[in-house]
Amino acid sequence: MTRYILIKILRSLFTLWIVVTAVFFVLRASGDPLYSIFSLGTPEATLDVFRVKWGIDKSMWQQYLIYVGDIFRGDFGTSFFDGREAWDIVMERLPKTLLLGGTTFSVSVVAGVMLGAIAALKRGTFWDRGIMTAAVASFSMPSYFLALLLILLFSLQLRWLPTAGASTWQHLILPATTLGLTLAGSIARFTRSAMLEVLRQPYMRTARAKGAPYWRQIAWHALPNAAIPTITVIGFQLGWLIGGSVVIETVFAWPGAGRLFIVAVGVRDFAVVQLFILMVASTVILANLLVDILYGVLDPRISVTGSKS
Amino acid sequence: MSKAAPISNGAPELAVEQYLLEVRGLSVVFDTPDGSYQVVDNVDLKVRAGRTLGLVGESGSGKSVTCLAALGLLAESGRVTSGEVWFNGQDLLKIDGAKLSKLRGCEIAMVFQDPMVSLNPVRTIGWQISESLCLHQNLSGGAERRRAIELLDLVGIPEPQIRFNEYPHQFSGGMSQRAMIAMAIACQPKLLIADEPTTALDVTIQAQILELLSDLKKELNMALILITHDLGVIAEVADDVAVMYAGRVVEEAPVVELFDAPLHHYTLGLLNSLPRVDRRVEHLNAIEGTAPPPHEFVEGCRFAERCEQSHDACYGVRPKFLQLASTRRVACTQPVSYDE
Repeated sequence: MTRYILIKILRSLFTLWIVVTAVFFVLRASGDPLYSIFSLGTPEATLDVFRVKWGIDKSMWQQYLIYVGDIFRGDFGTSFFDGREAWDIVMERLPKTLLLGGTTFSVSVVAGVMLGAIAALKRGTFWDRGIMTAAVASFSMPSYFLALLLILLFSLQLRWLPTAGASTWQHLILPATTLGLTLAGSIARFTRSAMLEVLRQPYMRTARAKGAPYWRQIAWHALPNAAIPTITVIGFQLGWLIGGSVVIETVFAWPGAGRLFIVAVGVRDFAVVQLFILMVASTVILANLLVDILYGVLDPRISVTGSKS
Repeated sequence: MSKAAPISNGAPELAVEQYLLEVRGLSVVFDTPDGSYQVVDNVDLKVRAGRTLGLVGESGSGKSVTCLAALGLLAESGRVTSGEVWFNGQDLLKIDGAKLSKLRGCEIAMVFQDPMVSLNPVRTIGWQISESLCLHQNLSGGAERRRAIELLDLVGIPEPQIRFNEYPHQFSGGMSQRAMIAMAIACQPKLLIADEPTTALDVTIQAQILELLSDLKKELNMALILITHDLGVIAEVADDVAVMYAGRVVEEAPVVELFDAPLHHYTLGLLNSLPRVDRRVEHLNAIEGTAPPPHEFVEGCRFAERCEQSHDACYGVRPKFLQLASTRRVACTQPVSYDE
């Protein structure tokens, strides 16, 4: 078990290193941050002072070694833009993103699994076709477009919900719905096919032959089996919680880390962009790790350690 | 035309006996994209309390479907078009779903062909046996567990306390089938239907499972329907036999009489195709041809095409049953004479 976890951690670190390195060099290849922060015509002498201060006067390789070394000390650098620690800036915004992502995720997992299961159980009926059409529509529509449609309908026409901001719980509804529809749609589709596969297994007939009532067959026999393949897609989506919020936070002016990221990219605020990407990569990796562990919990045939008990 | 004389050695006490399960005129149709096929055609079966009925026939002859239909366990595409299934004074095809659910697993239990896939892979063996108890009996959690372990012990699973907490994938095929049997007999059913219980198992294990079923049958005083394509199994376990061919019952007889003097040419063919150790045979007499698939089912005798004795009367009209004794009948216009 420890060996397995050790290998997992080493692999994850390797992945993170690749991400960090790629982002580091791509960012620096994109241009000089000083030109996007200072107004045109600022004397080069002034800029050079800042270059020295921020350490971007050194060669690319020197910068890289310093950057990686700092990460190991828990120092993620300083924002060029307002001079604060990048870590503090991102952490300040992260709770809002987690609130949005967490709400979206829990609601869409529950809704997606339920709708997918209903579609499978009512296979070929109006319900099945209705749910699946809606699911395909929701995840094939670009989220910003869906966001605009929802704003048009619920904010401008019906005037039920605010268009932007984050001061009340009503503000949460539209961005969460936009993100959630996409998520729930794909979860529903996966749950449906997993359920259909499970429902025609002989052990479902055994459950019926035992005299188990219908709801019990579904809840205790079918769903735990259908959960195994479904958990993959859910885990995959969990990794996108932070990353996926970038567009939606911008559309709804949600003051989360995603919006911070867009601004930081615009001004080439190296430290903030790097930290944000590092976080997105970490969530994806953590989500995958979680899926692996959940597999072992849900499916007794898979043992996480790789050894047969 | 040599007509088979009635058999007079039928036990008289059987004639007045009530049937535990009686299937009357059961027909089942399967709807497929290519059309609907009647896979079970007007089948009658009778099972007496405490006896074993062997239901024998080739795969596709409708043995399993008949039993599944009787218990309301048909797949979605199958439906019963006519017939009655009487059990304990009620017609199982008429009573509502909840009542039938209460009956299933309690008074009538079923064991399936492939134990490895018939057990839920994500639940422990103990959980699955306890569930049967929980569904039909009011036991406390502790008593349920004790009873489940007792059952595992009863079906011959060693170290039942440890096995209780294991998952199906940790069980061998034979052990899985034992666990399935434990689950089925949990509530001491009056009737156990075993659908090819040994087909998926090794030959050595087959004998053990059959022995277990026979022992349990005696111990719990239950009736058994044993579905199989293996006449050897029938000879070993069954009291009565019903032979099915292409969706119909073609012959019914007590087991000894069936083996001594088969009346239907199909039964005779089956017996002749068995390898014998007591006789010297140059080659096995397999029946020519193959059993027709459902879309080639005809109204007349469905075996006629393969039958050496077939004549005009065999075609066009469904052969009537020739009742020779209360427990013996055959659907053939010209049965095998058992003086032969």
